[in-house]
Amino acid sequence: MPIITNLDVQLAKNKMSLTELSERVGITIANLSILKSGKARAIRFSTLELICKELNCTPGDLFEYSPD
Amino acid sequence: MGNRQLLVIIRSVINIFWILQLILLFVLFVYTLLLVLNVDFFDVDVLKGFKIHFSKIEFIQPLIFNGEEYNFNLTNGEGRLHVENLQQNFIYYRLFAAFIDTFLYLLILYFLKKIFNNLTDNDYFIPENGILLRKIGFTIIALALLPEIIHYFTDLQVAKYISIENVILKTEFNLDVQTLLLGILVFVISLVFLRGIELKKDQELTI
Repeated sequence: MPIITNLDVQLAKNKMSLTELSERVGITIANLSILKSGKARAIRFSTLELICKELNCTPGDLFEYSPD
Repeated sequence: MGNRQLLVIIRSVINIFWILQLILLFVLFVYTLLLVLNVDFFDVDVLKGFKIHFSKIEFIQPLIFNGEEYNFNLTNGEGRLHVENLQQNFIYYRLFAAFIDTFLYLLILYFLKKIFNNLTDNDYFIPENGILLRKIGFTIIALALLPEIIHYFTDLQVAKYISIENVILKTEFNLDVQTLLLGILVFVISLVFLRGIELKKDQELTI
């Protein structure tokens, strides 16, 4: 998929682990791992809002487009 | 009766049909072997009859009903034609169609067995079931067409080389519309099923 997730970069910038983010936004680690590994097919706006809020970033910081 | 019990019962019934079909295939094989080898210990002439389709049989002798005589005929039927000491290959064409028929039934039962194995293991919405359904659809379509095509060309050959007085042999292509529609229906259901699995996966991978 040409959409690349930069969740790990944002987590590192905020010095936050996946477990901590999971507890803060109320999304399971399994689901966040799917997002982090780029296997996710879609993301709800509500989830995106929660993640952006906790990581102090914009959706553009979390995702980037890279053509195949 | 629970859902699982019902599935186990249906799976057992399919297994019985599977065994019966295998026996039929074996019988066909033995039948063919007896014909090809022309063995001495068995009167193979009784096996040499081959199926013919007729449009009309006109009878010279009248039908007597309540003492009155009536002319009569038979229309649109089939029967086995036995001709003594006739060297012919029509029986082999018919056997070939029977082999294909039996093989396709076996294939359908094999796919069904696999689906029911998955269902009893609680694997309902998996791509394998959709693919198996699609294969069943294709096999049913083949079942509706292939044997009939062979029968049609055999009938053409029979009508070309055999002529019987007062009998009009039939050479029409009998398309099995019901089976064909059933095959198309199963194929469409498999496409819907596969799309459903794709949507389920989308749902599961939506965060």
